[in-house]
Amino acid sequence: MAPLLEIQNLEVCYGKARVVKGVSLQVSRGDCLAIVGANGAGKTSILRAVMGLVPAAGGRIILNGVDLTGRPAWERVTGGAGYVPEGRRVFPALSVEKNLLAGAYRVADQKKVHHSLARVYEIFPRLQERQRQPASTLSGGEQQMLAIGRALMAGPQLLIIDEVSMGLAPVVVNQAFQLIDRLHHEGLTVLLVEQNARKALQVAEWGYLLENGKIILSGRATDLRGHPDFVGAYFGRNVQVK
Amino acid sequence: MLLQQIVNGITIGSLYSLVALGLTMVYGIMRVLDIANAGAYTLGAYLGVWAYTRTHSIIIALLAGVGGAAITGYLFQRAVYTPIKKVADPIVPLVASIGLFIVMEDLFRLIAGPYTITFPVHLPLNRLTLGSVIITGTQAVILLVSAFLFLLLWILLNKTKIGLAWQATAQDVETAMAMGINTRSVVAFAFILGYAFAALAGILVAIHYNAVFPTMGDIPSYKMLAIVVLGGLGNPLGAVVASMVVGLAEALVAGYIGSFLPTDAIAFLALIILLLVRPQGLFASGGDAR
Repeated sequence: MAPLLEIQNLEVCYGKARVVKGVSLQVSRGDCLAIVGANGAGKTSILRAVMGLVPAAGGRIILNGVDLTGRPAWERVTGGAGYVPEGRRVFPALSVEKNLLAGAYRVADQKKVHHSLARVYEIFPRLQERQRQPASTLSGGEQQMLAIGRALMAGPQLLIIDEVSMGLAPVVVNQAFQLIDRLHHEGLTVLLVEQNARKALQVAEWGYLLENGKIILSGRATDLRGHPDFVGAYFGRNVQVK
Repeated sequence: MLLQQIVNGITIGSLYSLVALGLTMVYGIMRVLDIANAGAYTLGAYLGVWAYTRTHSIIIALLAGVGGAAITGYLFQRAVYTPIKKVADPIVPLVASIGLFIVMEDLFRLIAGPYTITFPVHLPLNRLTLGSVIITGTQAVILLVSAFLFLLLWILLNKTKIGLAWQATAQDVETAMAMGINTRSVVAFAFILGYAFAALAGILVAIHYNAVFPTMGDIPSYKMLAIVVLGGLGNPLGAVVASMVVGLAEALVAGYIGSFLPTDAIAFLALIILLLVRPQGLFASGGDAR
């Protein structure tokens, strides 16, 4: 069976700086896959290229069997991808409900939109309580709920999440990872990028360790956690963790 | 006297609003101050008078003026602003818009001549007298058309998918794209609507003063800048309120104080005072169309 997402030899450049250097990976249906690595390793750039927000300088991005390399970002959503950007990026002046409706922009069937809205409110009752409030008035944790809810509104097959833990209190981080675990166990395919590698590899089945724009280690998440290179990528090669 | 000046001020403010709305909608979405929008104001008037003299139908004149300007707005966006914005500093599209405006004015002069031509429309509305207040037929049309368009725009921005897309794109273009919004279409929508509104204002002004001339867009080109800054750049509601404030100020100053300074300076005086007191403008910038 063809993978849901296939990244082949992806290269991303910002000016003359090559930040992603020939990354290849596959996400099969039902998988939960985490790309981990230190700050500046190129994780977010991979996701931004997958979503068409930065051009791929090389390689191919195939979603649901369709080569989307060089295609505009909005075609990813039609192709089945839902995106939770780094830093939440909710629309600050729009109400909570309008933010969610913006996530369903590509859905023509209003019945489906209402169904998705009811489901998001069932997952996040807090958002329903605050549906008329501008998104800027929500707390960081609530904005993260909104960003995830917004990505779910289009009924994605693949949920792409960038740094879900960033800037959140530990208790909220735990809730966010519990939610990702729940969505995955309900059948959603998840690709997440995370600095908090320990948390990410607890919910993911597969892990990719990125260093300086290259994948240096990949495998089952359980195997990756204890691997010496995994510790080295974060703290330096000569560090021993007791 | 006061009520009469208020009616006059709201009429002028309504006309300013139509032009300012286009400018602010384009700014909200593209962060470009499109001076050429004032060229659409003149273009609408010329196309309108051209169609009217041939058909004697005000409906066809409106369709020709508004349609022609809307197409021009779309072409400018696709051929000039979007390509420039991809590769150049934010100041370059502004310079390009000034260039386009100058080219448009010279083309009007070359094609239609450097003189004033009349727009002799007889609107089927009589003068309305309410106590001491007189509303001319043209004023009534301007007020009715503007009120209808403001309502239409409010519904469009707040109750439709394209309006939601405009608001989302104005706030965060990249995230809007990632939500599946075709931001290219949204930008085109803003230009088409902006140029159509400016053209409509141009036709109404041409009918009101029975005059069309190549430089009629000069004053709107700079006065609208003051108005959209007053209202908060990219904020449609702010643009309407600021237009009314300037329109009323102009009418009241003209009616009560007289010509101690040129009428057109009032917008800038209001802008200077407001920026000293409230540097962010009357309303917050961008995207919030409530």
